[in-house]
Amino acid sequence: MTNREEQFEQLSAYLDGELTAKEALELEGVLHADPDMQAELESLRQTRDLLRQLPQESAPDHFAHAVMARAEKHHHLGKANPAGMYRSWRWIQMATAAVVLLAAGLGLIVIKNLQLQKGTETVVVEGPPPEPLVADGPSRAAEAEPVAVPMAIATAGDIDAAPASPALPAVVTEVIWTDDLALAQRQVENVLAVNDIEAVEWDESAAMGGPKAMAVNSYQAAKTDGRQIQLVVNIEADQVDRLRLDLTKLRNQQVVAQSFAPGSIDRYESKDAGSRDDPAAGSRSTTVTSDDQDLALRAEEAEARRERANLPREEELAAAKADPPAATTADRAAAYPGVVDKDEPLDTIIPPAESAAAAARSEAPLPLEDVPDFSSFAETADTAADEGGTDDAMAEAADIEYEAIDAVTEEMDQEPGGAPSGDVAAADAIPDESLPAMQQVVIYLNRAPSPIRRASPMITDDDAESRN
Amino acid sequence: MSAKSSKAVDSSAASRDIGGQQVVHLDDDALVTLVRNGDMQAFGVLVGRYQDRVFNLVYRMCSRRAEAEELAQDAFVKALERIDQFKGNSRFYTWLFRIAANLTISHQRRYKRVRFHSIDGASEDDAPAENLTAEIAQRRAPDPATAAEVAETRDMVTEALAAMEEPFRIVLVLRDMQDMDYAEIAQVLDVPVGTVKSRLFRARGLLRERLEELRP
Repeated sequence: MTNREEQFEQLSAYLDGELTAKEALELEGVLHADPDMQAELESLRQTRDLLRQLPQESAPDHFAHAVMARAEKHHHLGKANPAGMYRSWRWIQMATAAVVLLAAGLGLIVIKNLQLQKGTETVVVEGPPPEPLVADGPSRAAEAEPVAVPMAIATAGDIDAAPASPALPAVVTEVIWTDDLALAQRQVENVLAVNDIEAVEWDESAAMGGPKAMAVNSYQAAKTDGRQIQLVVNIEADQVDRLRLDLTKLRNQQVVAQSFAPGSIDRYESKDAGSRDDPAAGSRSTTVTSDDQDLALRAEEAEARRERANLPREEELAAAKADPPAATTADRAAAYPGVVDKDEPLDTIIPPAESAAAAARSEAPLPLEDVPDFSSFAETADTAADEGGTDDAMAEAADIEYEAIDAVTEEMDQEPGGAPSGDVAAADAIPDESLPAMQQVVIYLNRAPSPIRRASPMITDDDAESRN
Repeated sequence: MSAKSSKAVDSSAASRDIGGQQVVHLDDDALVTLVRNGDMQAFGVLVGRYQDRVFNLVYRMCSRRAEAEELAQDAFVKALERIDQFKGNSRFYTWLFRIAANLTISHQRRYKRVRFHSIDGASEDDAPAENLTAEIAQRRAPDPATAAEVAETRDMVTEALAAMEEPFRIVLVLRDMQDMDYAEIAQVLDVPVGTVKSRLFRARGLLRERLEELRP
C-alpha cells in the first residue's frame, strides 16, 4: 500500500475520531493541501451519515417474555443461589399454574389450580400412582403414599428469603408396548429431545431415587432387562401434558396392542383389547396421521439439530459397545407361553447410557463449531486487498470453510491465551435441590410378544383361541 | 460522540420495567454476578437493557424480522447458558454482541441466503405493515415530497447495506448504528483494531458504490 493509499485509509478512522493526536495532526496537514482528499473525506462523511439516519429497530414487545420463557425452559439455573431459593421471574409475575397429574391405570386424578402468592403453597397428590403394566417392572408400592409437593415462591427484591425445602416429585407412569425396543427407545428419546429434555447418565447408586439427583427437564434411561427399558424423566409440571401427548402419539404408532401384560395372554388376545387409556387399542395400522406428521417433523427437527452438531446417528449407534445380556429363549418362552417363537432372536438394545450421552451431546445448543473465525478471514481478505484483489476476490476469501472451533465463549476471554473456564454441559447436569417441585414421568418401554413382526409367523385371534 | 452514542450508553433508561426496581438500576457487572447465582430477575433486566440493540444488530445482519427475533433470542439464551464462562475482561454487552454476531453470521452462512429489502415489495415473510412501500405511503410529513425523498433514500441505504458481504456489513452496523468504537468492534469480531480500521474504510467505499448503482 502506498503512502497515499494509507492516508486515504486514515480518513475513515479520522472521521471516527480513532486516530491518535499525532496521526490526526499529520493527516490534517495533508488534507489542507489536497482537494481530492478533502472530497473523499466529505464523501465518507455523507455515507456514514446515511447509515446513522437509518431507524433503530426495536425488539418486539413480547421479546423479553419470550427470552425469559426460553431461559426458564432450558433451566439454565442448575445451581442454587446462596439463599437456597429458586427465584423465578415468572413467579414474581404471579402467574397462575395448573398442575395436572395424570394416572395411567389405577389411581385418582387430581386437578388443582394454584394461585401463586407470596409464601409457600403445597400441592398434595392424592391417590397412589399406578402400577406399571409389566410383570418384571420394579414395584412402585413405595410411592403409593400421597406426595406433598411444596413450592417456594420468591418475593420480589427479597434476596434473603427463607430457603424452600426440596421434596420428591410426584410420579406419573407411561407405558408403551413395542415390538422393537431399540426403535421405541430412539423414538422416545427423540420426543424428549424435541421437548428440550436432556439426557443424563443413569445413577446406579440411587436406584429409583436416582432421578432425585437430576435437574428438571432431564432424563435417565436404563435397561432393566432384555424386555424393558425404563426412562425416568424430571420435567416441569406445565410440560407434562405436551410430553404425554407425544408419548400417546408414539404409542399409537406401535404395531402391537397397548393393553396387555406379559403372562396375561388372554388380555392380549382380547378383541376388545380393553386398554385403560385407549379403548381402540389393538393391532393398529401405521397410517400416518397429522399428529404423526407433526411428531415426525419435530423428530426431523431434532435430527437436523444433531446433524448440525455433526453427530450422525450411525456413529452414535456404532459407538455403543456395551450390549445388554440377552434374555434366554427359555425365559421368553416362560413369559409368553405358546406364543413366542423360541428360535426368534431378541433385538439388540441400544445401551441407554451411550444413547443418552450421545443425545445429550446432540442436544447441545446451537452449534458453535462452525462459527466463522473472523481473524482468519481478516488475514485472507486483507491479504487479497493488499495484493490488489477485487471485491469478488475478497468475497471469495471471506467464504472460508468452517472448522471445528472452541466454544464462542472460550474466545470471549480477552486475555490472550485464555483457557475455557469450565464444562457448561456438566454444569447443566448439576442437580439443584432448591429447584421448584418437578413432575417425574417414568416411561416403561416393554417388548411385547412379537407375532406381528414380519419375520415371525403371524398369530391371529383364531390361532390364539385354538391354543387355548 | 453523536446523539446515538448517548442513547447507546444510557442503558438503564433503555431498560423496561419488569419488576424489582432495586435490581433494575444495578450496573452490568452486578447483574451478571446475580445471574451467576441464579437470579432470573437480574437476567431479565439485562434482557430489557440490551434487547433493542441486539435485535437491531441481528436485524441489520439478516434483514428478516422473524429470523432476527429468533436469533436475537438465541443470543440471550446462549449468553445465559455460558454466563459462567464470562470472565469480565470485556464489557458484558460486548460479549453479548459477539455471541449475537457469531450466531447470526453462522446462521447466514449455513443457509447461504442473501436477503434484500425490496423497495417495491415486502420481504418473503414480512408482515404487510413492514412493507417498505406501504411505510412510505403511510408516512405523513409537512412536506410529502421531502418525506418521500428521505424515505426513499433510507430504503436505498437499507437495501445497499443488506446486499453487502457480511464482514463489511457488520462493521458498518457496529460502528455507525451501534456506535461502538474500534476497540469494542475488535472485541466483538475478535480481530485486531487495525483490521477494523481498514475494513471500515473499504466497507464505506463499497456502500458508497452500491448506493451510486441504486440511485436513479
